[in-house]
Amino acid sequence: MNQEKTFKINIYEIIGGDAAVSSDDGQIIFERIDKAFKENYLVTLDFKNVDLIVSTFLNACIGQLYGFYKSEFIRNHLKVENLSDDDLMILSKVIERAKQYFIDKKGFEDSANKAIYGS
Amino acid sequence: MKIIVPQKLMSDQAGFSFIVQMFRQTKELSFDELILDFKNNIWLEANLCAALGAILSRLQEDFVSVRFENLNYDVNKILSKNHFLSNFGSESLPDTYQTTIKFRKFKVTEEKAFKDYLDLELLSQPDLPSMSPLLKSKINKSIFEIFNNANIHGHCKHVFSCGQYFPQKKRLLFTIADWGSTIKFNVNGYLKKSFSGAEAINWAVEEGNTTKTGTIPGGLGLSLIRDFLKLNNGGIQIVSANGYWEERKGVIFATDFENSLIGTIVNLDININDHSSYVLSSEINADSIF
Repeated sequence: MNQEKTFKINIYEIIGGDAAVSSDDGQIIFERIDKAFKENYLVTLDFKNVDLIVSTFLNACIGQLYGFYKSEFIRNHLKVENLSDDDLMILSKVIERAKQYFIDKKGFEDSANKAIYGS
Repeated sequence: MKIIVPQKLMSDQAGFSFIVQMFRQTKELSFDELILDFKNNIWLEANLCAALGAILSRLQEDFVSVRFENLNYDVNKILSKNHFLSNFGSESLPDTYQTTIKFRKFKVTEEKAFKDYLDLELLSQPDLPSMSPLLKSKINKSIFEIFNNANIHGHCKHVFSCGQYFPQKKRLLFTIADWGSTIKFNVNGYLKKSFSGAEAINWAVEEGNTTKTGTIPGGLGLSLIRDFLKLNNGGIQIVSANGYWEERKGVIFATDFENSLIGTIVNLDININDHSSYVLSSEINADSIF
């Protein structure tokens, strides 16, 4: 039986403080998750001691994943810990929005290709 | 050049119209002098220093000396306490009652310094009415969404911020200004439309609408702020290009000014006497969120 490989990412340690506010920091976390996903790891994002989280950070770190992985894969390989109710509400909107963004983006690019290449 | 500051400069349509007009009047100045004459002015909402400062800072880059004349005692005091005048050669004063949130200029990459500024100036002031931790967090997040928008969408170098408490009204006004790409420019470029300034802002504030095209999604920040301010009984105003847009208690008003501004000003009007619990309509389970 395959033992599940797991890894916990300590957000506070990686961003060097209690404020998860920048897109650049979100990108760093995204790259860590991406690497771990490619190795089929189950990743937990631990937000302990992070007291300010904004959508810009969550878009880069988690929302972006939906452009590269199917929802089902993300659901089976990603967990979050130590998020407040308010932050969970924002994260759920980020996820909902990300799913729509990549559907719209595909539609937008398809129609642009159609306009340019006529196919 | 001399510009006469109106009798009352407030965070309303007339106040922002004056600021946009001031931008237009001064935008060609170079190696010159600008005098802001306050002889008629008796009231100035100090949060607007963010917008004034954005204009004056750009002028100083173009070697324009800025001088303030005929400031009345009260206005002079408040603009000294919030360190606005010290950017233009005057002394700064201590803020005994701590009603000002200092005027500051940040590089858009200074998120951590901006966080420290908010912690110090906005959330740790002992003389403020007590705010719940959730309200403080909501205020902090809203301001940061605006700060990040200036970076992501404005493509600018600096962000200017300033705030003012009005203890009797129990309101906090906080303004962020930049002189980056306007919302009108970004939206029309993205949609290949020719929206007016107000129409472009109207499009940009809708949840899900974004001019972002890369791998990182967007289109959420402003709608989160609007949701918060509706529950908070607050308001938001956005000025960009010639567009003026505001929302108060869920009612939207938008119009186009005669003049145009290169950049964006966002003003948040927050009710700090707010004991809402912001209860979620349904509890979100972290285990099934994805």
